[in-house]
Amino acid sequence: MTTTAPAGKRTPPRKPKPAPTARGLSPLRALGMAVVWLFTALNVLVLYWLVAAAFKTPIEIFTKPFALPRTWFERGQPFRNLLYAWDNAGFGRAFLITVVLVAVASVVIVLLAAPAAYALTRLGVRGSGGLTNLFAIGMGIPFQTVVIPLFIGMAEFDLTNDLFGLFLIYVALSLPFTVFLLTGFFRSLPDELEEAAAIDGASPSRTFFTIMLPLARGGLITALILNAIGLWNETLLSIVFLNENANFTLARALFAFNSAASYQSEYGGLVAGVAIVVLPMLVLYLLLARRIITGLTLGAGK
Amino acid sequence: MASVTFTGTTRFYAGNPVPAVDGLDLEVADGEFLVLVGPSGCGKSTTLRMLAGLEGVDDGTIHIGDRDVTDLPPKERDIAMVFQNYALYPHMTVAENIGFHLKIAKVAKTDREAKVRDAAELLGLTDYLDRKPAKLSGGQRQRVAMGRAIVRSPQVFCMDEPLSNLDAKLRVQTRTQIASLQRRLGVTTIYVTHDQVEAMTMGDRVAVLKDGVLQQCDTPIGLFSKPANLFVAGFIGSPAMNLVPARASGESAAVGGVTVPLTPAQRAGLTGDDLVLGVRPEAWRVSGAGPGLSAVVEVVEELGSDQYLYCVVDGVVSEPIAVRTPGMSPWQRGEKVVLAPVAESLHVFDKGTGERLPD
Repeated sequence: MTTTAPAGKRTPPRKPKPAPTARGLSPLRALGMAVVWLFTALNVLVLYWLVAAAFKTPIEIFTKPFALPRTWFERGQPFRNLLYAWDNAGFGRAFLITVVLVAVASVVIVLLAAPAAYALTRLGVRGSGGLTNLFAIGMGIPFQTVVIPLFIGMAEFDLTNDLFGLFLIYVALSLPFTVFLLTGFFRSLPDELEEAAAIDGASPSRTFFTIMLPLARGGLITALILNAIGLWNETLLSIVFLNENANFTLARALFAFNSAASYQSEYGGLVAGVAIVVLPMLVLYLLLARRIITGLTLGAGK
Repeated sequence: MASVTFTGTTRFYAGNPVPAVDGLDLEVADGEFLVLVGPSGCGKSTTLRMLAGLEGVDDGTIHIGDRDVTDLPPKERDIAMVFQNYALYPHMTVAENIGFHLKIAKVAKTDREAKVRDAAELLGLTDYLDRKPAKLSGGQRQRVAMGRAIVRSPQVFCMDEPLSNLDAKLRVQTRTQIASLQRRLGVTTIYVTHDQVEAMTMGDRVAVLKDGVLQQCDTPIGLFSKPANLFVAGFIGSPAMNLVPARASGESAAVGGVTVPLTPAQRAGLTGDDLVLGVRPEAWRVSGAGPGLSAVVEVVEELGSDQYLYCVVDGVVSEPIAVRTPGMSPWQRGEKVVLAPVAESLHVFDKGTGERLPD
């Protein structure tokens, strides 16, 4: 054995050799890779089209859909479409409303769902298994099917065309998924920590707030992000429940802008409006993708 | 400080008609170090968890001192527990982990810090007080878990296999540290392990459990020299005691051409003619020829200080017989030998009941 080899002489491989099982491309794997890459390419293409078109004139959009934008740049006002959309669609106010509504709703959803999920998974309450299933079933009901009864119910309380009413609906409809997501998270925490806390003399509520909640922070953040993205993009409910310009959310404002802009053949502005709605969430997702994915697969493996 | 008394303590688990712990009667003296030992599923952890209040008691009672704690929640029992995987709070520093109970008990901050510092000093953790558990080695985490127990100066320490996550060398070191620490603090300690070496080296007394039933509770020497039944005989000692079936005839027992005398008490205690002779590996005389069991050496384990021979004796026992000889003895694999038990170190058990026959 030589133990005197001079340090620094060895050059490690640029990339460590993979395990033997992972090597080789089986036909199924090749097909899978092809499908995934095709899907990715398609999405990138759509994204490119969207961003490019947001800087084009309507003629450019229709004649050269995949070329780079030129006209507005040549005229020295490259952001003309975005400014047009922002000014004419009432996006300024809608942006503010949406940010506040989404932020408050997401936080409230997590605040309500976390204690519920903790109680369902951790306190050994009688019937908690059945209740958890009930939440899971709630996730399976498409909200589109209950829009009309919801509207009638909300009208009874005079909560239609009202941001607070929409907020209530958002919270109620998001709870099943969030509770379900968080039950998975709380279930994955070790029992011993609670037992240790019990022996240390902590009450259940203290255990929840000082031990379990900090440990579930990753799950809470995931729930927060997923709800924020979902609510930001939510369109149908905002169309049904909001019918006054002053209180439009971004998606609702875009819908109104769609009708107006089409009449004027203002397609550049319209696409720019779509970009304004879509891109913030894309950026958020890119920043937090890793966290979202770990959150969703949690509980899948031990 | 206090004694601990289990009286007819029984625990069932849902869906299982056989109790996990069955009518346990056990008294642990004030300041004693008692080890609960047994194979997995024998109920040792359940017993400890009942004492800690993490598990309900279906029948019987548990007393700490004169206080009946059977139905008290853990925090009112004045006990501290060290968990197998330590159960340190990962988001708190070492100091916060150790001081968590004191904080809940509303001990004043200066007082609390002093106590945490004392415990840390005792365990050599002073340099690590500001670290999170993830930044500690296995041994350090183990010491933090100990610190969390010590800082409370409780009536009773409960330890649930606290060494099982350490590597072999560290385990031996920590074993002696825990034992000497316990003796210094004088706190009554119940220690659960499946490792009979830990049990023998650490405990003032050792309680052996099997299938939820207490088999024997005695000092390590008592267990080793007078195992109460075949299970304890086979469980305590490494390699295990050789159990050789024999037949009683008249005043002696015969096995494969070897006769050993039986005392009158032993003859009186027999329920049938079948009995089992227990011979520890060190209680065999090995020779090349002479009276005894003819055997063939199948495996030789050389440890340097000792040598273990595993010998096949056809027609007498199915398992190879383990024999301890001095290290570097000349025995070879495949060699024919004669094994003769040393009469004074024989253990005699009734085959029907499995109980030890009186000497």
